[in-house]
Amino acid sequence: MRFAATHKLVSYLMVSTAFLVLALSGELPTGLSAVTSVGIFASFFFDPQRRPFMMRRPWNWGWTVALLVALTYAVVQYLHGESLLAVGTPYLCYLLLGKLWNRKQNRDYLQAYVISFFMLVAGTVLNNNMVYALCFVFYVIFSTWTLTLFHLRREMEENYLLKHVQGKDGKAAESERVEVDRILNSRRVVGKEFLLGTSLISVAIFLTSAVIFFLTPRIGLSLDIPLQRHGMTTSGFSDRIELGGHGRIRDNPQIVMRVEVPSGKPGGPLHLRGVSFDHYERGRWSRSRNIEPTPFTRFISYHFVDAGPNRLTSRDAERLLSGTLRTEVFLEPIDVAVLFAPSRVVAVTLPETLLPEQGMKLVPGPGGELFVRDRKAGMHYTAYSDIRSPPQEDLAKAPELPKEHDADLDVYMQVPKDLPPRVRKLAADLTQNAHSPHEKATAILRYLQGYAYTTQIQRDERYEPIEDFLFVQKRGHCEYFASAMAILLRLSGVPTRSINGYLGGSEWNDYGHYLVVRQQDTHSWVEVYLEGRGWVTYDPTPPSALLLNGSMIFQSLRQIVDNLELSWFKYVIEYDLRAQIEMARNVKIFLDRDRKQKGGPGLRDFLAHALRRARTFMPLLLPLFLLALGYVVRRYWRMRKADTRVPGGRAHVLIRRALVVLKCRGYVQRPGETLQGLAARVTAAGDPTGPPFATLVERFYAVRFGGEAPDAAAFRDLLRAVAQSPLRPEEEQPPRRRMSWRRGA
Amino acid sequence: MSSAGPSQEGIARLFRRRRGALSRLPRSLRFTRDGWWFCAVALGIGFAAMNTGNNLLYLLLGMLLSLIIASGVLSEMSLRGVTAKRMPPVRLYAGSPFLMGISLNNSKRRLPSFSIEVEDFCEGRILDKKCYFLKLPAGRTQQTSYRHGLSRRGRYAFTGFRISTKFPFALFRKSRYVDHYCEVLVYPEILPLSQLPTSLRAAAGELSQGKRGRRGRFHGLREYRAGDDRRDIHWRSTARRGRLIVREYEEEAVRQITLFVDNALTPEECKDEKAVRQLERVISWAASLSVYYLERGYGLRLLARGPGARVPLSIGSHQSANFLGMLSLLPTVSPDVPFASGEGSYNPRLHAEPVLIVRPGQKDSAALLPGAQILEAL
Repeated sequence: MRFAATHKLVSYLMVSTAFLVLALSGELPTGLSAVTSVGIFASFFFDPQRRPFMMRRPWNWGWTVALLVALTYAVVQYLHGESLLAVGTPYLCYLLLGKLWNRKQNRDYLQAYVISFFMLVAGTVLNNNMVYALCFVFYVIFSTWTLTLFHLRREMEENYLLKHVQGKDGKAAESERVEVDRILNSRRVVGKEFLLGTSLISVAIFLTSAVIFFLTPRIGLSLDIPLQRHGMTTSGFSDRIELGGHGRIRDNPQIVMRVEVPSGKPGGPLHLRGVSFDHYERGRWSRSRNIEPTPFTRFISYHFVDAGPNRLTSRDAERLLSGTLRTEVFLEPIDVAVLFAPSRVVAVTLPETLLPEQGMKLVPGPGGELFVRDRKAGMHYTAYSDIRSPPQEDLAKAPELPKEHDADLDVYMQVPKDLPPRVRKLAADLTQNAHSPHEKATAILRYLQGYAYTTQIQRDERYEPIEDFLFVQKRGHCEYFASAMAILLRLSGVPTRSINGYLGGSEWNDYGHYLVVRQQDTHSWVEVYLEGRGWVTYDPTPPSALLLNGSMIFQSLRQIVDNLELSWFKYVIEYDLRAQIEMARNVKIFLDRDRKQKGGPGLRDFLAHALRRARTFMPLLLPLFLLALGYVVRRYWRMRKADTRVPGGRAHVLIRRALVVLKCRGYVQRPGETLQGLAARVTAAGDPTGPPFATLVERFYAVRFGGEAPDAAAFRDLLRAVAQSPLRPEEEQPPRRRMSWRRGA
Repeated sequence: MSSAGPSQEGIARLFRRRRGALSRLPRSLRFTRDGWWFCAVALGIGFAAMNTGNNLLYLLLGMLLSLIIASGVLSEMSLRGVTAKRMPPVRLYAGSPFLMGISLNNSKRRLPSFSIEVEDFCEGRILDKKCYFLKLPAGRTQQTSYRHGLSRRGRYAFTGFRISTKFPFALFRKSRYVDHYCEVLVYPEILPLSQLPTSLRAAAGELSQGKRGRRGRFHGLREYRAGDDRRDIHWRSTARRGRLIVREYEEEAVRQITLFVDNALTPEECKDEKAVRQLERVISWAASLSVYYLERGYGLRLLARGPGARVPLSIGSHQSANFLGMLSLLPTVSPDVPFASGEGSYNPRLHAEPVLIVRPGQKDSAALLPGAQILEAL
């Protein structure tokens, strides 16, 4: 490609990529995005050097006035309370358009690059999706090309290029001016090799960026993190909910969290507990505020739940954590400050910061909830839960609640006063033969299994919602099942609370080895208080209803993309001090020579792990491989086509091969040297390759210019003769560049 | 000859320079204006990253720092394997601009070098002239030149090159010093005869002396050729034959001239810039006359004060290098120092040719040769 054309193209690619980052953040008005896109695209075809009207003063003045008006508008907006980003990003678009439509000098290109960089910075703050990662990679490649070419262009325009011409016949030496326009239109300065080489440099830059990124300590001077991602709207986790909301989000596939389970895929579904409700009134659940939550017991970075008021020792912590299920939860930004963890949470750890007082604060809820303060973005935390199911016999032995019980449990016995009598009667009927709370719960649960599951609720407003579900509709979704069970159990004298959360387990990502939890996995169940056992989970919703009918066609691809997204958030967006410490620890283990003896993982384990991780990218590498293959085939096809177009085209290929052979033997065709000249030089040097090569050249000329029919066999024989010529004795060989010291010897 | 092997003084310089080279870093790095801005932006991004905890800003910071690292690596690759050579002109004259050829070779096997600047070191100082090479393909040599002028005669040492590059992003300029010692002799300024003082022009035969002269013995007639002196046209034969005919004269014995250059200055005059300038002018006149006489086939002998400050009788323009070389290195001596004597020097008893003495003005001429034509720089 011509130098100037290449420079222009890569400049536009870089600028467009930066704009794309900003546009995809969603912060730019759609109209402005569209106008800027069209403006950038159109300006590519309008070269001010070739359009006289663009060089005239009215054009420049018009743009200057327009930009001043835009600046004034932005300042006014800012003074009226708009954020700097909100007014700055549109103005960057105007500035960019102004520069691209007035790019007359190198300086204008440079200013466009600066504007594009600020666009990238703004996009960095506003956009942190996977698309950003893709754009970032392209930006690195394009910026490497652009900055290199821009530097060369500026240097050649600013330097007075001279070519020295030696004086001949007693005349003095002279210098010839080298015309810049000639170089700008030259195809020799920038070729495929140049672009490929700089692309490799971009890869190196990208890798170095990654290394710097991972090694830069996250010291966190301040945690005034701007909202990076918009909080996702969820329902069912506020202080007060109404039955029926669940059905609206049942078809929402938005991912809420990803749960890594280091011990492997769980045997059954995980009830990821969110909030609990204790007060029910005509289809509405709410939380009482008269229960004092039990504070957490801190031990290092662990927040232990219900571990008692005493200080914990490391032995206590070890005992409490033994046998628990460790889950790493990567929670997307949601609009409620609640953390989700498998039921019966034992302990939680939050991301570490260098300054603990600046970190997020975990607050216990009255019903065993985990609330977090000062969270403004998605987060990553670790939960330790005891999900082991106690034996049924043990549960069955749990006695009825004594009359003198904990006053806090009274709220979990509340039932609406206007509850229809037939509901009370049903509770009594179902539990008449049960002798313990567990048996009562089992009886009710068994009864509810006969109901149908549906998200298409048809309510009869004449009845109380639970009465409507139990006696009229006889079908509903999990909220109805859970609410009905809770009320029936309370009517039977068993403290019960309704839990809202997510049911994880329907989607296991085979590539990343984690559970994917989506909005549609929202779930309700109940927790029953059993004397001496605490709160035990019962899920009355029929299990078959929880199976999702996901499309299997793109499931694999979806899992890969999701895994990449998790990796992006896990290793880039949510990368923090704890991850750094973890990485340092892993490196230390890896470098420990005695790790095998100490029972640690060996190199083979590391490699196997790396291969397992790499498997994720295999399906993505396949298209790349196909692209590369397509390129090679196309190139071969074009060569073949060129061979048939040019007389003696095939012979030309053979000559090129012969030139490669000669190059290996130290003979490179000089600029301006004909093939015959080269053959004469090789022959004169006494190289045995000379005569067959000279014959090959003669034949080639005869075919190429003399119109003779090519004799493929003869050509191949000659080429073979060239390639298989014996080497000359060492002392006669032309000195190679690397061996130039031998000349001195 | 303008370039020469290292003299004793040159060897001493070489030694001093070597000592300097040992203490010099192999590469020097200087940030450009763009580079400073780039670093400032990187610092700003780094501060924003730490303040906000936004990991993507850390990523951006990583990219900016990587660009700096890549810039360092690429500039090193561009500079490595590049050697420069100097191609000085055959003759250099003080005050006249000349073209110094610079040849740059890239000895790398595969990688081209981009955006290379070459600066020359003269007398330990870097010249303000730069040679720029946009692209130097692998294994190739390219040539360019810079125009420069040296105001004073004498021996100049070009000690090496500073090869630098701002490739690839112009963030900083990386430089490498390359040894390449070369001495050049700058001849005194040669003035056209029209610029010489009247007395000198008369001595050179440019002006009428106001005396009767002769043009030698008649040899024959021939047709006029372009360039012939019109005074030699033989009008009678021209009229008879109808075309221009000129006279030819027999070759006379070689005409000889001895040129004395008085290169003496008193200690007080040595401090006087005007006097020094006058002496330099005198030497320039002597050089101009030498070239003039030698080009016209005169035998010329040159003498100056000081031991060995002489050039024996020589004929032919190709001998001018000897005269100019001697004049270019002619030192200033005190008036007590006599003119060079010995073999090849002037002896009034043996040599009867005209004598020209070129000297600065305001001198006591009595001490010089009686009867000599004294040409003084006023």
